[in-house]
Amino acid sequence: MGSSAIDALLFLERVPQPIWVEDETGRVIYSNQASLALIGYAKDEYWGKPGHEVTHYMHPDGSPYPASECPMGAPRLTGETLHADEDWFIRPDGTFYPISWWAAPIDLPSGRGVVASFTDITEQRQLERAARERDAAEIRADLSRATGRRIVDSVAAANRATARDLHDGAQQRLVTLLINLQLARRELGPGAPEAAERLDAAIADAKTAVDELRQLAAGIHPAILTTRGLVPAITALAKRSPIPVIVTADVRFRLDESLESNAYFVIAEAITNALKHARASRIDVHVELADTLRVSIIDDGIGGVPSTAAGEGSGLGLTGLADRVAAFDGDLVIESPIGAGTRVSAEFSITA
Amino acid sequence: MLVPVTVTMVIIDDDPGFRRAAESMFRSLGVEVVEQAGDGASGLDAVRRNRPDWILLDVNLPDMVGIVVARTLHDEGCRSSILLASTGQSLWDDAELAAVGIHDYVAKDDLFERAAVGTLLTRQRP
Repeated sequence: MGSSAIDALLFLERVPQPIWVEDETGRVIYSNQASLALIGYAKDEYWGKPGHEVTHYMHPDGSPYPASECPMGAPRLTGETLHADEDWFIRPDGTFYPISWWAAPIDLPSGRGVVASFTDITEQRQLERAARERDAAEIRADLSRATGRRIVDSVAAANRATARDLHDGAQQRLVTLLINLQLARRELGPGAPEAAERLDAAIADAKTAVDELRQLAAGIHPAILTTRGLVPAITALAKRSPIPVIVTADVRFRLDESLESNAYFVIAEAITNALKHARASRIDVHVELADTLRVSIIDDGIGGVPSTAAGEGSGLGLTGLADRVAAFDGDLVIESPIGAGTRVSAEFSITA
Repeated sequence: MLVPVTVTMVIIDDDPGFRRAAESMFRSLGVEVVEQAGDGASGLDAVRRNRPDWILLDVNLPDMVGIVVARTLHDEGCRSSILLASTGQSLWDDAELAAVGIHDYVAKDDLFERAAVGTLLTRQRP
């Protein structure tokens, strides 16, 4: 072997790519260190053996893989260079690992052999699978978010329509009925005390019905939310509270109707919950619009609301809030240390 | 000889039942309802034709909201006083209403009581 051939071998020993050479009969006459390290055989277990029978003798399904059918040895016969993206080698313990390989013809003094290199693609396959799974998970999450958003949008639209129908329909009829009863009562005069009594009762009932219907419509979708938007609606809600509710808000634009209504009901629900359970003396509501819409509702009550309270089936008034927020790709956080009040923070994405 | 001055009114509301009931009620207060309209556009025409002392204006009309009717009249220099009415609570405060030329607000279910205690049609132009 000339000095240039020796230099070449030294060079190959240092190359981190597994490389081996088989002679014209398919026996291994050389394999570099990287190759031995990867296949897991010592030099004397590999050199001189038919390479195919050591690392490539079986298909992953367990069926035999005769050397005569293996394309890796084909360059010996055809003189072509071949490549495979995915093949399998077998470890000394019989387990398989995925590889890609190149095989090229090489003229040896004894005849045409093959020089081959391979790459263990286990890690690459794992990364690809992880990436595929990640993509699939992201697609599933996107779909579930989109579905959630469609649901809250359609619920919000249906609620708006219902509240409007109640307002324009039944409420309007009742108000007209009330005025007509009041007019009739006045025209009746003093001669029919029993009829007057009946009319007074009917007037009282009509008034109660108007009030109840108004509250019902406001609970479904307050008119002020449609007409004037989130902050005026929250301010109006705050005015009706039996304890001080202080609203600080920095929102100068009207937002998407569905976003406004879901943010409103998150705030309304948190206030209702604080009034019912927290024994608070004051509630602060912050509404801030930047890249996202952030709302927080802070009370000075007894705390102790579990952080899972917004989840499904928690039995508390905060149930369902997380779903409303999640539909806007947002986050809901409940902090409620025992004895130190409750803070409900929600962040909504404002991009549709 | 002094002739009693009749207070005139145009009612703009899309509910004919409410318009009739309101007309009866205002007539009992000595108000003459000179014209009724069921939407914003015909309401504006009715006001321009009649130049009433008062306008009873519904918050929600089929073609425009009451506030827009009020603002339009305000911008035209209309001298009628406007009483805004709705089935709910007011969505605006007094200053906001005054800014578009609305003199008073009434919940429709309070209309009769307000008339009975004499606090309807009393507010002056802001």
